[in-house]
Amino acid sequence: MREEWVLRAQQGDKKAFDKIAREWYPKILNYVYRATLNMELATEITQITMVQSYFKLQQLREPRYFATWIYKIATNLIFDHLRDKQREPLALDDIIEPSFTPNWETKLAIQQALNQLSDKERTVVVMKIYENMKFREIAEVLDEPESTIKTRLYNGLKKLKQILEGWGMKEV
Amino acid sequence: MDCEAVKEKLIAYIFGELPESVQREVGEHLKVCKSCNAECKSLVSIVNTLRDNWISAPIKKVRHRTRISVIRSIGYVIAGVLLVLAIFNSRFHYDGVTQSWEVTFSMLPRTVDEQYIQEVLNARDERLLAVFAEIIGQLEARWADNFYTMSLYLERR
Repeated sequence: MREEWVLRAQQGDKKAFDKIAREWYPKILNYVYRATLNMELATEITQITMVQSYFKLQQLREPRYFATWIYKIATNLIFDHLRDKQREPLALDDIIEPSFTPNWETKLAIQQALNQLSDKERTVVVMKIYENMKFREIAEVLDEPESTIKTRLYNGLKKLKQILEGWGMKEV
Repeated sequence: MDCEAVKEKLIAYIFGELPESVQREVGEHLKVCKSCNAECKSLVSIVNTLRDNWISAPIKKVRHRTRISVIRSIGYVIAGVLLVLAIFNSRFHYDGVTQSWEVTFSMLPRTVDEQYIQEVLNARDERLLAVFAEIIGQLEARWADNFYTMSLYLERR
């Protein structure tokens, strides 16, 4: 069904692209937010991703690879934005509102710990753990060998565990 | 398969992304090797912690808030209209025999008349007279208007 929408959108059916955008906008927004931990930046990158995916849709040769393709656009934009930017402390608005979420302490700790990983480590952790992507897909999105992705995930997870345990979290 | 080889494959193993035969081989090793088993459990534990505590973009439910604010706005408007009706259609009457003031409210607009103003002016309540004396010029100027128009005019002062 999704491939059909992509095909129809490629043929100029705007309604088909609307359907795709409606499905993918929140997914990409969550992905970019988890990778950048900055809501303002996440919104901007997500919107540019949607715009680029619309105008570059003709360049996608295989509609079934739409997911990998759109993640790649978003990821490139994330790295473009983060490349020259020094790590900043999390803005208050970007931190989960503690009183409104269950397990807020753990979530807050994870968010802060993720913020201490390198951009590439965090992106791989987010893709694997939250987006549930295969190693092959992540490697394709990041244009890197699978072995590099696995090593980066391993290191990222180890670091997270160490940070969280260092803050006194048990059973991490 | 030795420990070194298993540790290299561990990350793919916990996500079930090894070829079936290799997946089985690593599983067998984990049953007998305490060190690799502990390493595996440690990775699974952090993955579960992350998965059990999803972080999502703090998207504000704009639509929901808008709906509430619309309902509230309607409420404020209704309350405002009722208040205006209650105040602007109120009638003060001074009874000279019992020497008392009577206040009546009506939900229907009515026209103010000269006699009513005179009643107010003839009243013995000095404080109230002072207030009305202060605004008498405006009352006279808008003599033909009905009462709520007049009050609106007073509120602007």
